[in-house]
Amino acid sequence: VRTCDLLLKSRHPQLPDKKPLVRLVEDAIGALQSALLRSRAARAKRSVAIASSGASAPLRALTLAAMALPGMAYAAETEDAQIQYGHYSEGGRNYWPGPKGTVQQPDPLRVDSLQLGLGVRLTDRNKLALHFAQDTWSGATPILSAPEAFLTVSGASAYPASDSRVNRALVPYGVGPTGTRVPQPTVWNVMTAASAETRRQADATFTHEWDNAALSIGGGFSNEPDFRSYFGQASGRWDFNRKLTSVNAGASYTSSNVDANLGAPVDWIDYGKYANALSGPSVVGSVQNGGVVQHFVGTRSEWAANLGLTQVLGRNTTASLGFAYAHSAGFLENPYKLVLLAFADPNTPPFLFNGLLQTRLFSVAESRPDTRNQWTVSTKLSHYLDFVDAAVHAKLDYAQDDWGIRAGTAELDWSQGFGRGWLLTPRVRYYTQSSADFYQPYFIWAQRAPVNASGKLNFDRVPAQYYSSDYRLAGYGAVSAGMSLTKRFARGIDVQAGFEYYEQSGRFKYGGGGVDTFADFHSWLFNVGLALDLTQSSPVPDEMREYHADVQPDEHAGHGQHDDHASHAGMLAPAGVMSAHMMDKPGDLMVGYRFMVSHQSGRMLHGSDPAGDDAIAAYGCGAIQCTFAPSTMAMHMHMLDLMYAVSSNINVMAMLQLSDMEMTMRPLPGTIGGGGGAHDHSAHPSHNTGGVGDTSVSALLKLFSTSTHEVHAGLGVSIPTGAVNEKMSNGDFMDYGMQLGSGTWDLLPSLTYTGFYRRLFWGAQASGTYRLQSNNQSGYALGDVVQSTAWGGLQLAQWLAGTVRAIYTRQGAIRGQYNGPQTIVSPADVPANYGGRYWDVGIGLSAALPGRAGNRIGFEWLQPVRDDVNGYQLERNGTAWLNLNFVF
Amino acid sequence: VIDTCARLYIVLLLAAAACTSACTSVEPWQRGNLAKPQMTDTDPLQTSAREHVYRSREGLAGGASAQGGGCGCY
Repeated sequence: VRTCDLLLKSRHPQLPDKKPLVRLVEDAIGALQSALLRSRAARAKRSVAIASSGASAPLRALTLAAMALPGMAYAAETEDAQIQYGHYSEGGRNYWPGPKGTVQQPDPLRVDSLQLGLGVRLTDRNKLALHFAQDTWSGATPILSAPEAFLTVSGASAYPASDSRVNRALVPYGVGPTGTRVPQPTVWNVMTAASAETRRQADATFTHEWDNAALSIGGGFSNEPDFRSYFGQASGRWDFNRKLTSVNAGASYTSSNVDANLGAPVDWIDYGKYANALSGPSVVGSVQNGGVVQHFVGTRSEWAANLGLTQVLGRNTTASLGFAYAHSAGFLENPYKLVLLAFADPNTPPFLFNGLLQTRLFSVAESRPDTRNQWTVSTKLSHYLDFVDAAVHAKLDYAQDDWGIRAGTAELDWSQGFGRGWLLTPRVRYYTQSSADFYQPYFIWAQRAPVNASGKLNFDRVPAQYYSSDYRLAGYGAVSAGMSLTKRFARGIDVQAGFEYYEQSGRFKYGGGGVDTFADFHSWLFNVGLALDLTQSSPVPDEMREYHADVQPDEHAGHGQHDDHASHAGMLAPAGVMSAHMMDKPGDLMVGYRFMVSHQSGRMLHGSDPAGDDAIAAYGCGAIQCTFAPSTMAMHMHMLDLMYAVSSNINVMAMLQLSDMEMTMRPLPGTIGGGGGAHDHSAHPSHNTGGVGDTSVSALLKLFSTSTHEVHAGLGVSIPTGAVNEKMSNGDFMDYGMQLGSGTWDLLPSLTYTGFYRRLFWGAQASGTYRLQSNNQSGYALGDVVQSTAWGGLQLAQWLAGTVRAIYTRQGAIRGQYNGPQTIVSPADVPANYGGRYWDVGIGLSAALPGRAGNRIGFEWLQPVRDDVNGYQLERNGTAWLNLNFVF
Repeated sequence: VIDTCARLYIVLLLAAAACTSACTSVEPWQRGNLAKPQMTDTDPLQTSAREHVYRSREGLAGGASAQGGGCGCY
């Protein structure tokens, strides 16, 4: 210092004499101290602010808990969200048309699916990913396969016969067109139709990241009417060698419960092997709606482990190698598949059937081993090609299990960039597998049928322990080709669309020897999706002021609004109000997800009074006697909301819907419905439908706006994209309430007022649905709807608002009726029993999410207070709305 | 079966051996191409939808991971 002093002194003679540098240092320290003091004072001031807002902390905690979104802490920094709709449909299944072509062509299988994902960064190193998936499927699938000679027709359905002939080489001989026995060895599928069913899956994964490693744990459940499973997993990743190499390992466990409803017992299916089994899978009977229904019940568990290595091979190349092992135990059968067991009696006297052997046939549930061990090796090579801006991915997998299946998969993806955020990925895939040891299209033995004294099959003496005719266990190959198109827009919005065509056939099996052509089929898969980078939904500078308001509690009453316009009050409107707010900033885009669940159960109403079963039976179905009444009705609807601000006065919106419904019925006492299992419904305790609903596009126009009040009008059109021809497995229309759309083009006008004063806000809306057509393709039109609602709300905290509201809804009865076959059994089948006048009250909460001012999550419960229904209808229990919005 | 497995093994071991010399030269600033969207799964939701189909239609597809998926036995 002294040396420096001398130097300084010599260069800056104007500096004071004594120890200039020391003084400088002292000054610096002094400045630092005072700065520290100032910041301490500021911190003290801030702690006052926190203390004053601390009063609402328990409320905040309670609210977040009530919203049942673990991890959605206020401080959470949301990262990404995805929504995808997929449609899968099958075709080309070879079914037996019958000798006269009278067997009804089965509806092909189709599946509508929805996937939702949300990734949240809880802290810098902790991430939570939430995922929800839903599939609704309907249509026909093969139940068994058999040679033509072993099949017979009853009405419009094919069944296996109980008796047929084969020659000494076990070639099946059936009755030909001329009435004589001819060889009929061609194998066909027997199809069975299933009404719609919905599966839902929710899972969550928590990940902690280090600089060179990550650990994650997760779990979830999948629920469908016949299959429920819970699963958990833990996995880790470790990067080393300067992040050129990473190793990953994981383990998972799944526990499943199977409860397959087999319907009423039929005499041609023998479940004897599993009838009331003491251990393992079991077929048990239960009484339902006065008739016996069989259930196939059991449990399954699965352990799996995997180990993988990924290596950067160069500046354009990566490769990975993985090993996996899985052990399954328990109910591994497919509960819906049957096997035809044939026993050709070699001692049939030659003179009896012209030398053919008498053959007894049994249709039985399949039988698989109780355990399965499966090993997989997978490899992947990815290479980036600089000169075409594309990457090629080659995947090669090999798997085998101890059931005798060996499978190989090869896939090639070409991911081509086109600039401006466009990416096209065409893909081809080939899969081949050998057959399981116990797979055959049908089983035949040259021996007398092992039957017991009552003529039933004695399963202990069946020559095979395991037998299955499930095509999944056959030897075949599958070829598929498809592509995926992704466009990345500004503001972190990705739009994705893709398709894949898939064809499975015994001819494609590697090395030949695949299953016969009866097992061939093809399928299409379409998907469209939206992926949002939520970090792009960040505040713009003038909105930052809201955040600084936190440290000045005195000023912040009603602060949430005064940065914005009166439209801010609309933003706080209850979750169940559509088109409640407009965006002010031209070019803003809002992406919203809404979920609605509504439930009806309990009493039947006539007008606003409870209706007795006698009255329902006598008057509920018009001139016909009602034999059933609905006992529960549940509806779930997922909606994707897109809103774009063309200008501060005009916003345009589009809304896409996916819905599913379930209705259960009860027999009415004293009618044939209550009399026994004779009626079709006894085997169908519930009806389900699901799929795409109607699509609406609309525009909002601001009519009047001050700093505190706003009025806007909306006009929309509902496009009939939802099906109105949902039918039961026998081809009859389901009741009107189960259809997925209106089937008509509808007009959707609305008028909305919103306002606020300090922490209070309020609003009112009148809206309607007017059918522009007098009937849809199925012959009817839903009634027009008029709804009026008014709400009031309070900003409970800077980030939290609560609302109460009242709703009055009036809907007309259905006009017209089905123009196709329909069996009228319950009031829900009659057009006059739709519509009415409904009064509800709603209570709601909404909370701000990080980022832009419009990023919110809202919840509302609507409680019915009075129903005045047309005709006879089931009472309503209530409706819940969940609403998630992000502004970009 | 064992043959196929073994062959795969050998190919991969060779690849791994080859890489140890090659990959040491890839510095962080040389990994721009590896970070391109083309090099990742561009549509993970479609991938999961496809895998769900394979799992419910093929004997051994889906490998050995417990990610739910339900019965798929229709």
